[in-house]
Amino acid sequence: MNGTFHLKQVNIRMYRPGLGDCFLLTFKGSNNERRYMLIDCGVLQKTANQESRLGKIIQDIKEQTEGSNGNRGKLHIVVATHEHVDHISGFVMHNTRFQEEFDIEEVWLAWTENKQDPQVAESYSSVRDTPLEALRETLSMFDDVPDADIPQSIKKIKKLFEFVADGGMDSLRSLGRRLNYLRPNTDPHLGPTNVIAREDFGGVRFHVLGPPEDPKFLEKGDLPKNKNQIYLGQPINQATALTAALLKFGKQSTFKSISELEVDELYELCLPFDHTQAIPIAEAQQDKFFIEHYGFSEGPSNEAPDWRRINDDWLEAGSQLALDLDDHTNNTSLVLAIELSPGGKVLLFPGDAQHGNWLSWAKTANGTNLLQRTVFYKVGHHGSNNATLVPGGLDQMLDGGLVAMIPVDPVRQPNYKMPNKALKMRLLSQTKGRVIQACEGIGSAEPCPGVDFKPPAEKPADMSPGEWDQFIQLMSWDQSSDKLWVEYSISV
Amino acid sequence: MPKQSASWIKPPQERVLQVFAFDPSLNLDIEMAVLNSMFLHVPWEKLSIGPVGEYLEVVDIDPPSGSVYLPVDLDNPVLLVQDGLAPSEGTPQFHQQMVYAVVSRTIQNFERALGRLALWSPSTEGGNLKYVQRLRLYPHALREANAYYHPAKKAILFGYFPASIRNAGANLPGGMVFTCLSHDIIVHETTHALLDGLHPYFGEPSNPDVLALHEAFADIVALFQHFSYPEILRNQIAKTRGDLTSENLLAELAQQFGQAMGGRGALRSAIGKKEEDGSWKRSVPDPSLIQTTFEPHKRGSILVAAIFDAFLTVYQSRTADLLRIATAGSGILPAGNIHPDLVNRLADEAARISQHILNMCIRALDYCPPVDITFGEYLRAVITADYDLARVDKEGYRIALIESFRRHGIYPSGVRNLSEESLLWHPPEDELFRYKFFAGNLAEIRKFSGIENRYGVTREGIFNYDLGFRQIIRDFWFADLAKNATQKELKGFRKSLHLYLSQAKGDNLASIVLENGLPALEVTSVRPAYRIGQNSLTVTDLVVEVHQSRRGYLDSELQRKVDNGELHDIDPDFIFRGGATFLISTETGETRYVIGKRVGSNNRLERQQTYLRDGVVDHSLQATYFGNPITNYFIKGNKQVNLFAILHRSG
Repeated sequence: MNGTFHLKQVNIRMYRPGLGDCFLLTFKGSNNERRYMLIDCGVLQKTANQESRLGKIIQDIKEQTEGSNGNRGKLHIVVATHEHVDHISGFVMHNTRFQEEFDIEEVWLAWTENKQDPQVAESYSSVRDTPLEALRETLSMFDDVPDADIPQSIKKIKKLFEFVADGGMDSLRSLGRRLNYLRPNTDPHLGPTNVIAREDFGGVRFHVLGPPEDPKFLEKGDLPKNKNQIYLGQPINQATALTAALLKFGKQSTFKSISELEVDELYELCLPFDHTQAIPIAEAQQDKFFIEHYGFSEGPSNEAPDWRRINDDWLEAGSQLALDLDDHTNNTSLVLAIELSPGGKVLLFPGDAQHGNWLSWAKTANGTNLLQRTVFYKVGHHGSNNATLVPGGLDQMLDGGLVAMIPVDPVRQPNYKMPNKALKMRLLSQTKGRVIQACEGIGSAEPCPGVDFKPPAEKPADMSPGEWDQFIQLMSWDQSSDKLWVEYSISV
Repeated sequence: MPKQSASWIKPPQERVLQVFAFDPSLNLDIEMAVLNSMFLHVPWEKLSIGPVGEYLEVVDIDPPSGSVYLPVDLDNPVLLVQDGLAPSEGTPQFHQQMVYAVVSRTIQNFERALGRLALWSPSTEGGNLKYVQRLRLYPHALREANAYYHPAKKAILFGYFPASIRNAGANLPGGMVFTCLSHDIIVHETTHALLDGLHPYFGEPSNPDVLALHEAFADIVALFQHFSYPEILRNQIAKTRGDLTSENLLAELAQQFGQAMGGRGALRSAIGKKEEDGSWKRSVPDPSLIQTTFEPHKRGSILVAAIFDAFLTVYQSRTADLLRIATAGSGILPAGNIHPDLVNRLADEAARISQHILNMCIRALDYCPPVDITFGEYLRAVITADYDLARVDKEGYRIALIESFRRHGIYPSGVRNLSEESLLWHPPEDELFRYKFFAGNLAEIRKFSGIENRYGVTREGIFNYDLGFRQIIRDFWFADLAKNATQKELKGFRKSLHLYLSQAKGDNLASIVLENGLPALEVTSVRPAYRIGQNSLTVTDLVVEVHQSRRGYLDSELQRKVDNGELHDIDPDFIFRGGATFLISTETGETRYVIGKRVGSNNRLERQQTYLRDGVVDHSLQATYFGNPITNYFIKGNKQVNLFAILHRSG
């Protein structure tokens, strides 16, 4: 580790890939010492030109971190908050570039990514893997169905799968010289207590706030049980029963996370009635009653028309499972509060943590203390409503200089209701207009008028002209036609 | 030996079938174990295996298990003499039996309240309206904690699921919970189906009350139907010592459902809920709650609470004398159990009052506008329907309801005050129109509602007859009027009957949907309704519902331009509906009530625009990714979204 230095300023550069997070933090010392930290690098799938735009962004990161044709860029810390495409696709798609063109010292991941950790193995491993495979099966059953006939719920699952990056974290594990899995080490009275003090970062202290170690904060819906849990006596639940059926009746019979035998065992376990009661559907197809009252042939018939059948209706429950899985993954976000000096300014990067994660640290003594000194807030989950806790969370961010950044560019990815209107209005009022969104700029309450970035013509009403000018001066943005980034500078 | 002929034996009126009285989770609670089976009396009909009868067909296919289960034969003599199969969670045939029994009982309640046969909503497959004979019941259709009526499939799908470990309540964690074994869930879903059959547009969310009313009404029927079983009541009354406001199994709907999902107590609790510490607390009516509650279940709960509170008021007032007698005037019952005679009398009172309220709520369905229903209008419908049955509110039902609605903040719009007199629906403003319109066709009206046309006719026959009559009303009566009416009369139609038979440039109604150059008019329903007349004899009214529509746009400016004809041929964002319900006396042809929703009302249109644009706020993760299902409902090209499935899925 290099020598210590006196921290003077932090530059936060938000890249603009589309709907995705990619933040480069430059910690500058009084003698121009520099340390670089990259938090996430990803963009949602199906964003136009994603691969080449990310490539340009990575090129910029390289140049910003003292890389050039001959030298590698220096990334002292790389953080990947959670395993969603819009946070790690850059690391996956451009893995070779990261390996060959950068010198990465440390990679920080949440403790929930550590598959060796016994708590993870018991509760979290394969909580995602098997159900995700099961849902993939569901989607594959509609591969040959024309779009107009695909039920809405199945389309929803498809939409959620745009965020899934299963196995993506593996691209990160070997990127740096060291790999750290971080825990908050929650104390029942004080809250998270894990503080990583880095003299080599100018005395900055990194507080690990989440993901929570207490499972009750993580799971809103019940997720499917994995075989370990069932063998340990945990009873099956609805998500398990659904997953079992999805695996059994999918097109595939072999899966990566679960063997054929286990699929059959799980399936047997989840049957509602004893064997002796059940008659296979194949047999029912020869039975007079079911032929007359249900029907198995194509096209309309008098008594047993096809539009009254329910062959696929049960698959729709998959949409709730997909939502629960998405929520769970978001909740395992690594949450970092970066304290620039003891008792001083704090930068909050919560990934996409949902309320469950927030609740585990926001209302604690340590958490509240950090919130009250927060001068920069990276808005969680692209400004969606459930990823910013307001009572006890946002409403504690009372520092007069609060600035927020929302990493979403609706022009490039207009399909989601992000950022949430009401939340954005609240942010605008608390920051007195200092909300920087990845497309149109600052202080605008309207959706992006275009891809240009420029400050509004008039300053917001709440601020004095002096304050506002000062703020604008701390901002800079990419003037090139690519408009890759916008940056805000904080002095210590 | 002469062959024994059974032709002199009359078929039975009823069939007795065993069902679970409450959600089977209570079997684990020893107090309830004795109580949990009940003998339900349902109308007798010949059944084939399934069971399949006149109204229903139970088809037990379980796609997620890749299986079907043998259909039960309820007409098998072995089962007939035993009142069907004994309650059993592990026997799918019992599930088929229970579903059949509870649905049948619910249909019977509706038919008795309305005085006519129940019809399912027709199918629109293949373009035309087609009669649907039987509602299909799938007892084991889904692997989720959900059950729903599917309007397109004319079916009810019941889910099953292993109980969650967290707070499974009295359920065995991991044990199978079947929604088809919950009496309340079955009644709730059946009510959706019956309401859909009566009012097809009540499933279209044009204002925050619409879906909430569907949910509330389904809960009300489940709740009060439960109260109509005296044997259950007796036990509850004994347990609660006569005070039905205390914690009370009967008032907690779908209890097992809520418990198994890890919730506290039931899914929707009308009179109170369990606190964090497990204690149960009575809800205090908060009139401001309705201003801020828009989620359909929660909003519906307010209506349910209002009706239930009214029930309690009447119950308390009607049993005051019994308690006076039992306590010799002190009002304080002795400690310990109350006298079994007192229990019986209290139980009888509660059963009687709840049956009355149930009837009031069902009868109100004939007094509702055809579209865009609001809570306030439903209250007016309940009051008017009951007034038509009994001029004098002897037992104070109407006053209790009005009071209770007020306490819960539910006010009808456009009334001067909350007196009974103001709340009643009115006849057409202009006296001329009270008689002018339908009176000319009195003979045909009488023929339609005459008994000779209703007895001995099959339900399909009634359906086709109604359809035919609707065509006649539309194609002759209205068409005739539209052609021959003077300008003054046409104006009068709008004012008094809320219908637009013509459309002129100055009207600014170019957005109205036309047919053959005139505002399109659809007669969506024609049916007889019964009331008690002047001399205490039963009198028949004719209910006619008429529907008109207009192209609606979310952008007010765009709406204005289409309305005044500046722009044409722009696809609407939604269809704005209007029309009117008429109640016509078959004695005199007089239009006794008209309940209108003018399709030309710009105020109402604006309100719907605001609601669809801004008012439907949903902060759930679902909404973040998928948008709100209510606004999505109206998006063109979206394959008919099944709102019932979505609403019930997210709880």
